[in-house]
Amino acid sequence: MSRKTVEPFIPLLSLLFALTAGSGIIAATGSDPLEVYGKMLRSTFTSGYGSGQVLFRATTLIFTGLAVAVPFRVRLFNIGGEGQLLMGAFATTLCGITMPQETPAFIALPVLILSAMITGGAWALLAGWLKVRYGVNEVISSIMLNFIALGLTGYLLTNRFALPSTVHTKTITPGGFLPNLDTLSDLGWHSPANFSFVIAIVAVASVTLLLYRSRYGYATIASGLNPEAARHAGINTAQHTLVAMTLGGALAGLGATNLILGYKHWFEAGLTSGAGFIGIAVALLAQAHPVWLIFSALLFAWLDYGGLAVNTMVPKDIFMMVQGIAILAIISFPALFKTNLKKKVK
Amino acid sequence: MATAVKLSGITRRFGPLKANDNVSLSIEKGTIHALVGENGAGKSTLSNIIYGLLCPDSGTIEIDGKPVHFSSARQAIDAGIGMVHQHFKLVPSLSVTENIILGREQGRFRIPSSHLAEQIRKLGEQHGLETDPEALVCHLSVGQQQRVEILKLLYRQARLLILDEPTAVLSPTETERLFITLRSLVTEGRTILLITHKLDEVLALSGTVSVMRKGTLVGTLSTALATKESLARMMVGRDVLLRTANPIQSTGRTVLSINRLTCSGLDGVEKLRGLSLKVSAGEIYGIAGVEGNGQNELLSLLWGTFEGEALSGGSITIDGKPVKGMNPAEIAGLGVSMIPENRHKSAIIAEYGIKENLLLGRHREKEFHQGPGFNRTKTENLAKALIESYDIRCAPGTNPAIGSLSGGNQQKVVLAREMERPGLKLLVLAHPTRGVDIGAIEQIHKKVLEARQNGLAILLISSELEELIALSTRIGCLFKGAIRHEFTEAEVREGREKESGFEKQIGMHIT
Repeated sequence: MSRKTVEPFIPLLSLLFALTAGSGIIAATGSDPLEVYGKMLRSTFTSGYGSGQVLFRATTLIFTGLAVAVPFRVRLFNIGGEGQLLMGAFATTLCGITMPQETPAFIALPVLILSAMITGGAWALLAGWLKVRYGVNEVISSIMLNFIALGLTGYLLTNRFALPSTVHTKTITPGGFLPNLDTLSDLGWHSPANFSFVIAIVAVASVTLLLYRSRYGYATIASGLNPEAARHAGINTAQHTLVAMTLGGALAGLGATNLILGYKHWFEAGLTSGAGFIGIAVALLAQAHPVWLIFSALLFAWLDYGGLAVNTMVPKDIFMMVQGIAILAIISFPALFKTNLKKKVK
Repeated sequence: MATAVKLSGITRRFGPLKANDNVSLSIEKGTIHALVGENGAGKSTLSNIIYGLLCPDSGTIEIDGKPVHFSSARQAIDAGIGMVHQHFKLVPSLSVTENIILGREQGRFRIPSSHLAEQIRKLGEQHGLETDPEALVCHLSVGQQQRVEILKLLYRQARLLILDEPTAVLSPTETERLFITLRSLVTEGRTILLITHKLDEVLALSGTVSVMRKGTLVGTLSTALATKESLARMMVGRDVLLRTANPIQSTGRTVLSINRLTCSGLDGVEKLRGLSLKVSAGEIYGIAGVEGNGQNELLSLLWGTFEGEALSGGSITIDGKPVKGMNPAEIAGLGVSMIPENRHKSAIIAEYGIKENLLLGRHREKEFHQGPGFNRTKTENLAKALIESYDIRCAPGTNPAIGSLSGGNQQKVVLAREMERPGLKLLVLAHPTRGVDIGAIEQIHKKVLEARQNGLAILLISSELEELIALSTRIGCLFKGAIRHEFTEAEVREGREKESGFEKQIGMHIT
């Protein structure tokens, strides 16, 4: 088998490998892996509440996954999804609590959604600008920006905006609430899944069209594949870098629609539960393709919520390990196949 | 005469491709044996097999009459084989001596370098390879670096020297000097295998020549019986026109005018010192020169990609419009096309298909637009038409990634895209046939002359004097950032008749 024929199956292979390794670990903790996986499947796909939970978690992951996938096209590795999401969520909350209570939805929603996107985008633009202007490695700057965002929102929350003896802010204006999926149709899931899922799908479709069907995307991808040739062809690669990074940040910020506008309606400590970081894994598993990203996000959401559902049988930490193993496998399998083929040649 | 190397039935596959198919070859001791063929004909594979970098799938190798099986270059070196690669394998931050003894260090802790340096100096003097043993390799010119590579082989007492395209980076004088060295090495009883695609050099230097085509050895003959035409025919498999007809043409108005151009690199070194030239419509202005005399700076100033443009002096005007401060997109908008020196780096996107590459840089043309995207029918039609008229070889109806095509095919894609730009007035060509097969060179030269006949102004930069003489209307000799001498149209036409003399004349002005 050549490298070319193996390549498309690498995500699947690594996933299988991760699940098998996970079974081993589960067995080592004294539980029956089949029973555990079975219960995970039952508790998610046969129960409306479980399905809704998976959908809800997947929604945030689609956004944070896109935040990695878009800059990836210009060869930037945006590790800063977590910080961009936090900043977007905090900004939208601030706008939401300062708006008058009676603000109608047609004003409140666009303003809140835009504020999340702009703040997330600006946070990412900072890393992009440092890269373009001074050549600062975007991995390092976006990690640092994560810390800063975490500290800044944490400080503002505890010292300025938290309601007394709680770890959350006031509730945002009701005009900014996004409808739950239950109210949109007769699902009766009683889950946090909300209209943001539709926004996420629209975002995926828009990004796909932008990258693969538009002239702008043609130039963006050209800038990523061969910056020198793109510049020679008169493409402003610096601008494409900045825009891709900003767009990534804006998409991460959009994740706030799911967490704040669709579910919590306030900002609280530990709001994101690391969705920005898992987004990196989601994008890697999907090989940064926006459409595959939906499936990859669903899978990670399933591992995440399914892990909670079997908490009584196996500690949740096990599933964190399975996620980690899957990512590690995705990254190393291509290299492993490469070296194996080389050996054969010799 | 004894046989130095004898290959019998060598076959080497890479996947489905047979890079060497049943190749049998004997190289006589004490001769210069040339190995010619187009890109991808299997020359490099064969030489790597002799040098032990690759193992043949089948076939045997005999060195000095003894069968050998090399599994690494180390063993080949021990058997007295040495190779100078096209891209030198030197450590830039080490001295000449250190580079030469690398891999052969004697003494466990201290290297007695002073005594070795003396030995290397003597070795160099013996063979016309004078170099300063103490100098750092990064301070040496390409020609000097090549001398170090050869010295390395002599120090290791190699008896068979394999040289891969040794003259690709040398000036005419350096080439002459190399040839003298090689001839003297042969008279000492060493054997040289010369891999090249320059037929003139084969005829001038070698005693025997072997021709490869598509992995097979087409034939081996004594050079005395070979002509350029017969070798080209063997390489390509059909008759090749080595010299495209270059009819006289009257020229029109001045299109490109460069006036007293100066600039310094980022390191502050002056790269261009008052370069002036004019190119008219219907004219090919050739620039001859050894690499590093300001070609790159001239090209990037012309195309608006020079860093620190503000610090440059003088002016460039195209059709009367100054281009200073313009970016490539704006310059292209004036009706200028640039075919850059390094195709892979600056002219194509290897992962994109032929179709997408044909649009690169021309994706701004309204013609191909539809809403925010491209008009598929129109881009398809463009691709179809250009693939047809420029003879780009790919399976019909497919759109393979351009990285999978041969160098000649890639260059045809670039040429097609740039030469068919609407409203084109000025075409800048940098080394348009570098790494391109003879067959494709012929087609490219035809297209360039055709473009000139259609009234384009063409600026041609090339390191191949032969190409410059064949195509140019006038030739400017670039030396240290300025045109040192210009050959008029009449002089070039006359020079074309007695080429080797003319090459020497040009050579005097560029070194």
